[in-house]
Amino acid sequence: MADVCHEPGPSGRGHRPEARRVALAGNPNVGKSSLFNRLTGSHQHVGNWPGKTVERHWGTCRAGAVPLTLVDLPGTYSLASSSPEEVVAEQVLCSDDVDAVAVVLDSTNLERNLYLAAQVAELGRPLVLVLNMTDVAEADGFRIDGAALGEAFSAPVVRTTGRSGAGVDELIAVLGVLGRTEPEGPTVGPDTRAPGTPLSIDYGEPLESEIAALEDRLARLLPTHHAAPRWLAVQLLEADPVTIDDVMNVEGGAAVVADAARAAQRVLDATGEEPALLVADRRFAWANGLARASVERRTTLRSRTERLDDVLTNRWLGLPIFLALMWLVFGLVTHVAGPFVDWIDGVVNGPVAALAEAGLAAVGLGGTWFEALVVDGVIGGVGSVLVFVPVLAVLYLALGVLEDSGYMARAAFLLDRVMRPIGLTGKSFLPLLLGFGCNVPGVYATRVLDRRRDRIITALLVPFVSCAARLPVYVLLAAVFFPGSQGTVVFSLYVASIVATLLIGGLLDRFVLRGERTDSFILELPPYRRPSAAVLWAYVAQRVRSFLARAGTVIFACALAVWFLLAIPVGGDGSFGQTDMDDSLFAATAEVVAPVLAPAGLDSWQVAGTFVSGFVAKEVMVSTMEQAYGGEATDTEVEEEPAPVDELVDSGEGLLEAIADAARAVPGIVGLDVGGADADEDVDIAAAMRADLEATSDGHATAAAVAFLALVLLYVPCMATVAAIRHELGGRWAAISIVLNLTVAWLVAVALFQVGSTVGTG
Amino acid sequence: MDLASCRPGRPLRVVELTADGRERRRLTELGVHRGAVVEVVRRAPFGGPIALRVGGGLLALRPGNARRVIVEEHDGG
Repeated sequence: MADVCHEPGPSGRGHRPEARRVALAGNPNVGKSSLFNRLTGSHQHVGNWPGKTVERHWGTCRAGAVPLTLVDLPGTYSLASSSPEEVVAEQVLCSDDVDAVAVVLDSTNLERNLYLAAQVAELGRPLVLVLNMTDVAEADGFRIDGAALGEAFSAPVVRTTGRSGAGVDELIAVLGVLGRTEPEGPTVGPDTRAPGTPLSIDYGEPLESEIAALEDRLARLLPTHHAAPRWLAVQLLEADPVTIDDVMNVEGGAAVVADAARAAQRVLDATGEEPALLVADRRFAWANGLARASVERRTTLRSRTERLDDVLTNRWLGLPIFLALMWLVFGLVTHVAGPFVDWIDGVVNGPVAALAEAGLAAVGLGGTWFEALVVDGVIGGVGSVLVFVPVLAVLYLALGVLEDSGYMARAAFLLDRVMRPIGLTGKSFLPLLLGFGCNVPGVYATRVLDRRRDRIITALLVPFVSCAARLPVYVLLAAVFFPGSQGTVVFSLYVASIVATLLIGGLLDRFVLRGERTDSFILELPPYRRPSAAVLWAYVAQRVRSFLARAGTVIFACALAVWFLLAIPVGGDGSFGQTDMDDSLFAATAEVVAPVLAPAGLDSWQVAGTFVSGFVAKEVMVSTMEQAYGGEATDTEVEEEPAPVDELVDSGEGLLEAIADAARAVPGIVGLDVGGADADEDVDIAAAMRADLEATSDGHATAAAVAFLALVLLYVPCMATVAAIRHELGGRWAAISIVLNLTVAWLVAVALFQVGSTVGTG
Repeated sequence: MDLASCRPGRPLRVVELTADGRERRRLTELGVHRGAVVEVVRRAPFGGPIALRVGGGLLALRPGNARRVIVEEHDGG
């Protein structure tokens, strides 16, 4: 028996009524997440299923005196274990960890939704049917006979609208008593079969006799299993891996599994069809019959979704609209987040640093290495993490809107043709698109893909997608080497990223798992919905939190490590914390790596050091460059010292200004013009960088800068991305990913420099 | 005729699925089963997928998948 859930819910509250544990099951895109948000409010948690990469959402609420623990299962179309999501859903529904199931149905597409509902009802756990999105259904003229549904399933039926919260209280009340035989008595133990009769669908001969034979044996073999023996028999005939595991785990199970396989073969011989397909056909016929009997559509008016699709997926307008939307997303990220980035940067490096300096001076530590550690190392490190919060928050918000509104599936529809030549489907576009935000969620998003081959190729491609963390590096380099055309440079890099991704995709399609190539692509286009603010908020907060958690450890540690490397003298006459950078351990380390970059015109320890720290996290590349090139300048910098309190007041006004700037930026978004404003404060760094690249490239600094940019774009993704690939696909593919990126990046950078320095003016 | 060669806007009845295994099962789970009434709504540009109305929902299918769905004209409700 799969033991997948370890959190007991709200425990240790005396001996109040035992918490009722309810699983929320349903198809994808039925508004399950907004309903879950409505039910649990702020009492929700996100994690991963143990040993799985499928996200796990759980939360609590109360039905009167009864505490409820809700588990939001991943959205699935069936329980056939053909994807990790389906495996998780099936394992949870069969486990000790739930007492009852709420199947959430999209009222506008009942027939297909009833297929999963039937499968869950056959499993036999206490059940409630939740007719969700009733507002949309009514607007589209659907009338659903809830009583007929309830009768067919022998289950209560509740109508809800997840977004407005209508019907949620009633649902909670039903969940509180669901599947309870004696409300005051002892709770149902694991060895009592849950009350309520499992749904039974007639699968016809020869299946029925095979089911009957297996059912009896399974009932004796697995008396405590939570699923009905008939359901287990059907799943075995369908060769469902989760059920096979469950049965194999008990003594005598192997014989039953083997007999089931022989029975399946007999069915195939007799009918020419695999049992899985026969079962699916019959079950669908049942769902279809019930849908016809219980749904009436009173209007022939075209739905809002169809009218929107006329425009958004239009043959001619679809792609331009998609490109415009992507343009808007990047505009939002750069222009709207920008002012907040500057503000955070200003506060952290201004008043906060000044306060720390004042505090340390007061206890007699002013001017010591300890002050340098606190101000430059720790506070600087925290700043380099926090600065990305606004960028990522805006980006995740935009992506969340695209996903939650139903548009993302349209993007997959429109772009499938683009992905087909590289052996992928339009679905792979989503992970790659997410990769523009951060490669890590991009890699994790590959789990929405049905095929392992698609997951591998897409995950190997994600690192070639230019993540948001690379953007500040582009901006800095562009401001230094291509002043005045930063926008063009950044845009070209994004185009280059897309071209590289497609080219390498074509390469991988030829060489990776060639035997599994296929051309199948089937995707649901869900109804359009206004995104739910609660779901978006939860999504953005969760992503930003996980970024901070990662940043808090990896990025901060790296920034600090770089500071220490820089602080430790290996030559010259400096002491700890007071050494010139070229005498530091950092320079010595990077010096060893640097010659590799000589053919790209970048044989300099500053450049090599930037890439070394960039492997730990791309976010720290800018701070490394600033420390590496700006170090000398910092020592001689004359600090005008305003009182820290005044600065805090100023920074309060600065926040207001940042908000105003962000608001002003909205109309100008279409002009994608990144950076520019902060060029003046980086003058020293710029001069140092230009001088350095002039020296390493024999006067072809521009060509070297282009090679530098290509390396930033293409070389190994950060440690976190490598860890994500390892997590999803194993260490072998993670290693392949690293080698692939290093090779491609080096070859491209060298080629660009060699051509550029020969042809170009430098 | 197969679904890939159908023009948008006419109701069709699924006669047979020539796909097998997983693909056929996926189609069935999503509502494209023998006897189902479907309609091609539109095609993505440049020979991309077709959008298919099934029940109350929409599916995207590649022309390759659509060729494995055999349909006939369906008149009336």
